[in-house]
Amino acid sequence: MTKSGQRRFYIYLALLCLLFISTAIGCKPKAKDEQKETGAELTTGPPKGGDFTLQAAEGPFSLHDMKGKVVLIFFGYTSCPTACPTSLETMAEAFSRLSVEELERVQGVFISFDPERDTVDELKEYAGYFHPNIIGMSGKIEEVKEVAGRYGAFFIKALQEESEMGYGFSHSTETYLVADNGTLSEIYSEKTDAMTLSEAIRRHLWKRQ
Amino acid sequence: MKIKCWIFYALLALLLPSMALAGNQIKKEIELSDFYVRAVPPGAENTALFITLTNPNKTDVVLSKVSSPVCRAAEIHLMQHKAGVMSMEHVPELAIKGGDTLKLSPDGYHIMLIGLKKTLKDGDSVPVTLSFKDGNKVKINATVRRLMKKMKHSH
Repeated sequence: MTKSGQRRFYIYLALLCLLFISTAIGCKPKAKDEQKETGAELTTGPPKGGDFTLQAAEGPFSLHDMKGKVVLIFFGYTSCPTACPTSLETMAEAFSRLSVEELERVQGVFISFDPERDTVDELKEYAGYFHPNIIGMSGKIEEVKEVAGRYGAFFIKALQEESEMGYGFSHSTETYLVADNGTLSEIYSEKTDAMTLSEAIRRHLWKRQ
Repeated sequence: MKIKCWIFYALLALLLPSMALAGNQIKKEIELSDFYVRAVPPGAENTALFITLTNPNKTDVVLSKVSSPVCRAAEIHLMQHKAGVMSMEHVPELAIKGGDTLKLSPDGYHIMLIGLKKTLKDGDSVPVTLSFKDGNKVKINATVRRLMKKMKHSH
């Protein structure tokens, strides 16, 4: 390394340090309830979706095992008393509109981004309460973050020190419909009603017949 | 001396009824309706209580504390939607403006019941005490119910 090259290296190093320090200061919580970013980033461009393997109570669950089924995916956490149960109720209601034959080719997936609190056994009970066709799962937070990012789901851990909750999450509330060939096909907002959702499932189930 | 006394009593006589009237207005109770607790799966840590609060007074009424024996803590939270992201915020108190009706809902203000001590089943009754800033306390029994609409089986 030449002398000027060395100098340039040190300048870059100093700049990098400055950038790091200023970012650290910028991220420092100002108020007690300030959000602490530990979640997935908002992805740009259309979400890709794709295969994943996460942990359910019965063992590893892989999306590719669901080939031939229409899969609905929702990301949430069990301590959430509002958006998460509402979306799962809607999913369950949509499932209840399907016939027994149709239900055999449909799978609901609830992915928790709170593995710190949600164990796989709790997730099994929680998801199953809404509908027997919904399976609960999670994984290492990095794994969940990676899957969420690919599907376009977003979550940020929000510290709530003044609240008995300790922490909660700010999160997106979409439901992802994966077609029977494993491709992410449609994204439904929280406002979608059960009828629309069940019709979307039916459309996918019967499209080749 | 005597005249001064008379003036004092006359003033008092004039003032008292109006003071009493003003007092009556403040004392009007806040009306609570449509209250229920959301049924959540067994083992779930938290749930939420929803109420419709109507303030018949001209002045604001402030809900400052909520408590229930079924949970470790009850808090007022606000859920907000911003650019497709839902976030929840703990708020210390909730003002209901004079003449206003405030409907608590899953996507707005609601009361979080945190750290449930037992599973609340559909149809259970949950005692809740609402304390207002003016010292007024109201006790209610909220029924637990599932939010799911009537299931219509198409087969």
